[in-house]
Amino acid sequence: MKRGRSLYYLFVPFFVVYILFILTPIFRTLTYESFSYIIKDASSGIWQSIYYTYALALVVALLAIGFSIPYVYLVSRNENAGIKVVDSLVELPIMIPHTVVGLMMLITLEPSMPLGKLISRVYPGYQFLDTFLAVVITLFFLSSAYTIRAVQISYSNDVMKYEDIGRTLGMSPLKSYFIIALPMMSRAMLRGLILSWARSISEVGSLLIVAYYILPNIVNVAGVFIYSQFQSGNLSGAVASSSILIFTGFVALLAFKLLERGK
Amino acid sequence: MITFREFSVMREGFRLEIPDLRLSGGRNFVVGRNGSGKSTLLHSIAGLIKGKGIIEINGVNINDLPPEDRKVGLIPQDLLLFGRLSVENNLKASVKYAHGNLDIYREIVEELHIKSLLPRKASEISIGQAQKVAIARALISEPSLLLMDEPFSFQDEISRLGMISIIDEYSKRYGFEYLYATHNSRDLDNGFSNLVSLDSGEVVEAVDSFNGIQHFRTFSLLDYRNLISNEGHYYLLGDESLDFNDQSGNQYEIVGNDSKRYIRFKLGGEFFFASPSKEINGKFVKIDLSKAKEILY
Repeated sequence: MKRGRSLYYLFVPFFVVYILFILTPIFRTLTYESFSYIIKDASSGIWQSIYYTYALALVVALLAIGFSIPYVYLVSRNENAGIKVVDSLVELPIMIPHTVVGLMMLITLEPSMPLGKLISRVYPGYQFLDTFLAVVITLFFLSSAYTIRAVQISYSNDVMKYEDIGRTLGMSPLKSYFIIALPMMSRAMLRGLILSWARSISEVGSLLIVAYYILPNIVNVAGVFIYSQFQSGNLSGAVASSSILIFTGFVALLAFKLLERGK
Repeated sequence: MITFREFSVMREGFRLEIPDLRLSGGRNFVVGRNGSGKSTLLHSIAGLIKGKGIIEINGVNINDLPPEDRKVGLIPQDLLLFGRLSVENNLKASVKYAHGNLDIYREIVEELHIKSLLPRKASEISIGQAQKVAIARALISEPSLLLMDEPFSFQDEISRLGMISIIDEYSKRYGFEYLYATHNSRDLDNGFSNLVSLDSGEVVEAVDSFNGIQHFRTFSLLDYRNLISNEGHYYLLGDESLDFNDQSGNQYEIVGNDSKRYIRFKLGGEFFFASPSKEINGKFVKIDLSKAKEILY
């Protein structure tokens, strides 16, 4: 009995240290300011920022789901080597420093740049910098890979086989896909949604460049808002805003997890 | 009747080739080790992987048809029931969304005693029940050929043979042929019209009775006794090739229990087994390979 548990006792300290390592800064942030101060800070504009951040991140996550479904089908159903090479590029945005991503977006999509020029010819009055569009496109660039991989793992490892069985039962490719395969991917899609959403909320670097203030409402996304509080020497305010962000994020993740379990 | 001509298929670097094979009689079994190409064969007949060449079912080349137009059913090893759907919706999938037969549905639900399962989720029924549902689901889609990839291998002997008997009975009634992949020789106990032996992506041989088997690779899949490989030659041992005496030969041990007693001996560093019908006595067994029947690899 004792011998059988020796590995268990050996690993427990690592587990405890890791959990403490994760929880300590969170606990420190949540308790740094008094509750009444945090309530006071709530009127500083952080709520509005959080609202915009969560909503924009959700738009981005839904877009990512929308693109992941056809993408995953094509890549999983295709033996073409070219497509496999393209597929290996999906993670590229994850490894590019975020400020660089901001610059990349700027020099690609600003109306003064070639592609931007083309767009503004089709859509007169097209603006990029400091718009909701800039936030959504930049966050999509950064976070969609997480969604794609979550859906892809589910489809190519598991769901495809069932879809194939549907075909052997005489179902057309469309019917087999929409009736058998797609509903089976709902859990993976929800998981992809959470990953992309969470990733978008945590983004600051690229948005400092493309959308420090989002016009015309002049709001910052939460990360940028807190950064600007800190930059202006207001550490207490920045920390209070952070604790609100962390707490709401925790509640949102919990809600997602409950939804995922219900699926 | 299933016919292959100049057929080949590639999957993840593995190549299966069948230049010429004719299977008539309807009750077909394919044996082979893991990785011999059984699943690849079945999946390419079903159209789930694209092969080159010709596969004919009753004279019609199906190899250019998509899976849904082949009338080829498939029951894979993991059954792949649609777990989120009820058993009823699993069974009716082909009726609702393809050309499944509602009369067969009614008949089979009754006969296989799965009526009480109909409202239950397919993910919540037992393995034995799931196997029946998988058979029923495939049969309701009215295949002219039913492929099975060891779907009953997680069962006890009596249940597995029972399932195969169900397939046998329905194949006569509804007039479909079947091709059953296995590596358990017991699965052949109900009889077969063809036995195809696969190894490393090629057909070793296809026979219509046990007497027709000529290859060591096929024999060794079906039984381990009375087979010897020695210095690149392969033999089938009979009583005449075994001489029990007290003077010379190989040492042996009697192993097994009760009626299944046989001898075990070493030859060229490897263990072999023989089940002579004559009396086993003496200290040694002399193995005379010149009196054994040499077989092909």
